[in-house]
Amino acid sequence: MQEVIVYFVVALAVVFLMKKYAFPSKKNRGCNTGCDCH
Amino acid sequence: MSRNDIKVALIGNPNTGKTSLFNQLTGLNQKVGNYPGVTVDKKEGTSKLSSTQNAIITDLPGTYSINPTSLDESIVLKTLLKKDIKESPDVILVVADVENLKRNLLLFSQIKDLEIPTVLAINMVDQMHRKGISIDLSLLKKELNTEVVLISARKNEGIQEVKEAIIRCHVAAKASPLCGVNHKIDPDYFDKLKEISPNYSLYELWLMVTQNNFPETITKEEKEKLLAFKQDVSKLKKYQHKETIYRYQEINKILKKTYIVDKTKATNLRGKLDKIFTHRIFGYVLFSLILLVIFQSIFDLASVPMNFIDTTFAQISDFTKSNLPQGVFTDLLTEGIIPGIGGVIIFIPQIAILFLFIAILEETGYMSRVVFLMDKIMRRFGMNGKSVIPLISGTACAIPAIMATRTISSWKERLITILVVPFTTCSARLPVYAILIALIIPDKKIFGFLNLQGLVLLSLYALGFLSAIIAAYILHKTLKVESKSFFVVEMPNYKLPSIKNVFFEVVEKTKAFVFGAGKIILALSIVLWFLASNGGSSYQNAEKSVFENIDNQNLNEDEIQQKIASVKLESSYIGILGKAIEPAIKPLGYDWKIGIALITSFAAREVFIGTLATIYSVEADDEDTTTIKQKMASEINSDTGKKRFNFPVGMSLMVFYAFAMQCMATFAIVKRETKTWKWPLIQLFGMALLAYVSSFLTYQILS
Repeated sequence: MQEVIVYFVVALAVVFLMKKYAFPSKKNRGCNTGCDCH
Repeated sequence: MSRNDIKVALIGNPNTGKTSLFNQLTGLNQKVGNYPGVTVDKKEGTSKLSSTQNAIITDLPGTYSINPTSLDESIVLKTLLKKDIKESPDVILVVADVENLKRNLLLFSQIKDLEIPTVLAINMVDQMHRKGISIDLSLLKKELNTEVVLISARKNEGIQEVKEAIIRCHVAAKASPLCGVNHKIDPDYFDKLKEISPNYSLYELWLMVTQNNFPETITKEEKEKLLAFKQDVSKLKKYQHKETIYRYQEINKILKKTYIVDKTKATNLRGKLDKIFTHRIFGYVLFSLILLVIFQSIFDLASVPMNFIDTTFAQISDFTKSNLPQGVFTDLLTEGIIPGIGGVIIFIPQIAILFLFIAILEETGYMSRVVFLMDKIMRRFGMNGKSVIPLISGTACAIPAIMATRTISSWKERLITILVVPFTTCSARLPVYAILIALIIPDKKIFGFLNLQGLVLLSLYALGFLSAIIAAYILHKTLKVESKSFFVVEMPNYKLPSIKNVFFEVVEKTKAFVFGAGKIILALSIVLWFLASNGGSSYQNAEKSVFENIDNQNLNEDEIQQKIASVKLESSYIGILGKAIEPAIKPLGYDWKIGIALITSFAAREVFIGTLATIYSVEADDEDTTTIKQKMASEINSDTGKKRFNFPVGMSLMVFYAFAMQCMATFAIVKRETKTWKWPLIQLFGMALLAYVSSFLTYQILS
């Protein structure tokens, strides 16, 4: 069971990073002055 | 309202005493505030100008120009563009603050170009003597080609003169433009624009095009022709930009002849403080002392909460490990997620203290004096005083700092500022510096009161700033970009900082750091843990290979477990990647584990600490080394048998982070602001090369 949770959490983290850097959303590209504007 | 009443629109910058004048003219009892935007709604009142003449005065919202940036300001533009005989104003009464006349005249010049009869009321003239200001009124009237009245609305001085000027202005009825700037920007373009309609002045037509604000009286045909001018947006923006610069040039010319500020006669507190804060020697000494206090405080005040946070996270990790069932998810929590979050939270005290000081300096009005003070220095290095704001903002984050360069009018100066801003020490570098300083610099006092660690941190900030201006100088000499330079800065009055504002500023900036970088650090910590806890066949066979090789060694159980953990980490996916890059970074004094942290910290510099915390957590089996600092301090260089983070390696790493761009977000924002890949790529590789060479030299010289 723990292994399933780990794979799920790792997959979530990878998807988050991919969305952040590899495929940033249009909203983020046009962001304003925030430091988290990646 | 009688048909003979004069319709007067009262317009002015915020804080010019517009509402006070409205009260004096109309007798209405209104609230007078000293903060921008007090006049939000349209307010009207009747004023008795003479025994036979009344005026209907409309108090419009405060605005810096008639290019609206908010809903309030758009009311001003709409009123000015009205051609309805019942609603359009007969006379515009512009209120200006005597102390900020230059800035106030920008709005006046725009209104004057609309060719509406205008009266200029210069307010707060009771302050003139104390501020050392003198005005040649008759020459100013001639130069501005308008009625000018000196008033003190609070003291009810000059109000009758304003009333008389309104009547004279209304009788004359004819008004001519002040600057007529548009024709000087591109005569052909504006001739064509003027041909669209004889019912509007050229500047009115230009405002309709640029502000997309058409009066109801305009015909469909005229509107279509005007819309055709909107197609080339970049040209419009360029011309608007030129217009503002040209207006300020004209205003400067007029004020040079008519408006004199004798600073030796300025006897007020503000003048005295300005003399000290902007002094060519004391100004810099004071600024340096303030910076020294800030960086001393960052270490002295933050050490207790930081130790508390570090220990707390170590305890949480231990508690989790001993209370959850054994398994990979528990390992992920205790070796990946908890150390990763701890690596962010621990730096909250230092970040909060830094922003607390910056917010106080901004709130008091001191920061504007620093901008003024630094202008002379900045110019020598190809920037101007306004570059100081991005450079200081850069201590928080390069992203808003690069955006703040938009206020710099010269493209060359702006480009140089964009390219050098990442050298300034941002809050993301602070965690890296803080932990490395704590590891390699002894915590002792010099002269009994100066914290050595604080001094090293100040030196790193100075190194960042120095690198920025040296890089700016080189770019200034090498970049072949032609542009004109202007420097306009408003000096606000000194005031006590608002606790509420400072509090919100600190909370907002700290939150941005924690939640902005925190999410990335957490996600990377999870992925790193996974890559460090899994591997190919050699990873799977780590235990077997250790037992095969220790037959003749007298190792106890702890030592055997430590060896297994090391072999596993080296043969994990992350170990394979780290080993691949190790030859390139070994001359800098780094091993493959640091190499991994260098790669991941390209996402955000502060990830460096979180990455090392995760890697060492996976490897560590010693219960005494639980905090991040302890883990790094106990890391041993297998080649020398000595501590990994010794003085040469620590210094080499700090130099690397001082110069390397190491920030994906900065790279993206530079691309967006310069609209080309050329500059961010030059910046990235230039800074990386500088970082590599400097770290190499640092390590080789010190070791």
